[in-house]
Amino acid sequence: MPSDPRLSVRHLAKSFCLHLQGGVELSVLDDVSFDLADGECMVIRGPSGRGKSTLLRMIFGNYMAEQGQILIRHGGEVVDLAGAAPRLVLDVRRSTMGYVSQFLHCLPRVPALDIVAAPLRGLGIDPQAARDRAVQMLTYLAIPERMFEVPPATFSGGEQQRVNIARSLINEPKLILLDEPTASLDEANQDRVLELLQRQRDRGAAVLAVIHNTEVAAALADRELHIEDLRVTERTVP
Amino acid sequence: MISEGYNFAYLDEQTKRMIRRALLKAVAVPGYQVPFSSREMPMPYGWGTGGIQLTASIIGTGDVLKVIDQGADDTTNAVSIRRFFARTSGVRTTTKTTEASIIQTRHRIPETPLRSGQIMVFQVPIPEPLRWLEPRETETRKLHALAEYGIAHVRLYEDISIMGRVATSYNYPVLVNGRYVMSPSPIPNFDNPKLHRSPALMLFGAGREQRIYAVPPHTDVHSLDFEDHPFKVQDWFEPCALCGSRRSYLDEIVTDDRGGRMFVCSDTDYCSQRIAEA
Amino acid sequence: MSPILEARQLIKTFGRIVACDDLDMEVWPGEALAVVGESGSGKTTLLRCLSGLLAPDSGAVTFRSLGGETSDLYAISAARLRFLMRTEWGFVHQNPYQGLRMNVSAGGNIGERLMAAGDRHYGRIRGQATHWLNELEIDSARIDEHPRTFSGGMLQRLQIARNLVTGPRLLFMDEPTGGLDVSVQARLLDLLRDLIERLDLAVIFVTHDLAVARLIAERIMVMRDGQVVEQGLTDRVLDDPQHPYTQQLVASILRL
Repeated sequence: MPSDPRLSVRHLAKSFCLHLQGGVELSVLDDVSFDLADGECMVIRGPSGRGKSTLLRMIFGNYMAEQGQILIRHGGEVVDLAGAAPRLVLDVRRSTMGYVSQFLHCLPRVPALDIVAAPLRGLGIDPQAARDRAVQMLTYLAIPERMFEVPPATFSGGEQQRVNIARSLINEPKLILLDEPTASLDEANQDRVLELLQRQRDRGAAVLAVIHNTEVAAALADRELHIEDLRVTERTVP
Repeated sequence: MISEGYNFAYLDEQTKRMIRRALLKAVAVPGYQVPFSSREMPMPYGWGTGGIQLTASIIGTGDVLKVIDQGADDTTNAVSIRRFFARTSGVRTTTKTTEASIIQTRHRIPETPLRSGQIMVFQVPIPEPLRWLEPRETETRKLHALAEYGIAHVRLYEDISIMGRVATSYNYPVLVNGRYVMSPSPIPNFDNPKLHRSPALMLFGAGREQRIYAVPPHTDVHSLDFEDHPFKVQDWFEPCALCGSRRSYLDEIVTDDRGGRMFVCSDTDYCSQRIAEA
Repeated sequence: MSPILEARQLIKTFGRIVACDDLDMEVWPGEALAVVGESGSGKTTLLRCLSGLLAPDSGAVTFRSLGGETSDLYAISAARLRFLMRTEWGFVHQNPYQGLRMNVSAGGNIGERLMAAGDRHYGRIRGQATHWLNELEIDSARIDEHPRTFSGGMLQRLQIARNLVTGPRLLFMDEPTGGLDVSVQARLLDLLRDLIERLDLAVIFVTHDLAVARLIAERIMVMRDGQVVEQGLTDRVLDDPQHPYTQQLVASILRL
């Protein structure tokens, strides 16, 4: 049904057990629940180190979720990513869920264009068509053509982040997770990325973002989630 | 004259029995190498002890024996072996292929077509055709058992890649009865076709390596090749300088130290027959 | 979709050493799986049991062919197993001398499996050998040279080419980049990644190098003393290790 949420988090909890430090346990999240619908953008805010990134990573499958459920509407079915088989998580990442990390982590020695085109190739799209769309994406994000065939390792922080955004959004995921997507960008590029995200949301993507910058958050957010003391509370958007 | 103190044809009867058993097995499975217990012979390994043991095991008083070495009856070794059997068995010997019932050979098959009832005994140095590529006996046995003969063709591939054609000119591997790949002993390629469906019985003995194998009469024997590089026998530009034959295997003989040479039949009996008939 | 390879209750011991301690696992078509661990973890033994090279003491290893037929590796005939090993999967040894014929040309090495499979056309075999030399970025003009003249990285690539010529769907690799210079290693890994994607290969590779695992594998299994202590998505296991041993391994990675 169209009104079913794209993402449902139920009673999610997370603690890290540091065995090398004598088994010290760090609790980060406790009993987190919320829904996110298609076309909605929810911004996560709160003091540093309180679990905002952790929450995103758990949803993406990058961090283990031992307790709770992460329900995602994927290909007409609802799947629980908490404790899911790696193949399922990969499948969801391939077509339904995208993640823009704070910094670009990519394969070394691969040209920027191929980094961006890779997710499309993973969907079985013809390599040339994938490259063409990657060109469009990078052009929109103001990456000069002469850098297309260069591996991003030598790019500036802002350029790397734009490559990061390009490759995470190119396959138009229905659920987009973002961790400080514009923190390393200048104003002009910030605006471009904002517009891109707004367009994604307008065409029906569910967006969940960690954003410090009050203005950017205000421009994007329909809802706001505040994380503090292991819990989340929803606050009204100013 | 038969020498005193030796059993008929030198080997004791129990050994002959053991070898005959191995021969039966070999004939029953054409091309398959049957292990046998090679005996101490009065000549060292590498001088034909395998062939000699085979001949000794099958020869009888009614047989006529011919012994050739690279086609010739008159080399030192051929003469020695022939005399060995004359002294230990008293069996009649000959140089004429047509008269022989047993022909022991080193590295050649006679030009004169063989007939039913004749037995060829080949002296074999290395019985394992895959040995050059696979030094482990455990592995070559498996390859034969499972008929995994890819590497037999690798050898031919290597030749073609280096020389543009298969350059293996002797000991060219053959497929026997559609099943086992066999080394025909170091006979020249030229002789390989003579093995195919021959009316004679072909027996192969390797004394040092302790293996016996056989090709029964009228068995298919095909030289390995590629579709685009089919097996071909060698050609000569000239006929035999003595008898004029254009269809026999020729040896090159250096006649002087100014580069003079002539080509003559390697099969001495064949050549002299032709001269006699001319 | 069904797994391309499954192992159930695999046990292999050497005297008192338990190299594989009742292991269950599966590998899916097109999946790259890394088995990591330190020396003595049992990872290489596991690889050999999975690829038909070493019979386990108990348990079963099952391979599923493209048509759906399954073969229990240690219940089928030796002939059938050897056939599968030559055509359905490949094994790239850590030491290329074990996986190549040193006295046979590069072309002969690659073409051997074709000849073993019954191909009798020299031109076609040579064409295939040339094709795979190019795929593995070896100068095809060296097709008639012997592997003795090749560098370490080239030997590994030649070994891979030799395995890929029959179009296997699964590749086993034992420390494929072990002992190679860093830049050579990097190039080989890039090449491997590209081949895996293009040929839709399933790959199981053993390595002690977590960085290599991260580069190539989507899934990772951490072994210690014959047991799998942790497994899952590579990025999850390496970014959020749960087991104490995994945490120790991750903490030991050299970072510049």
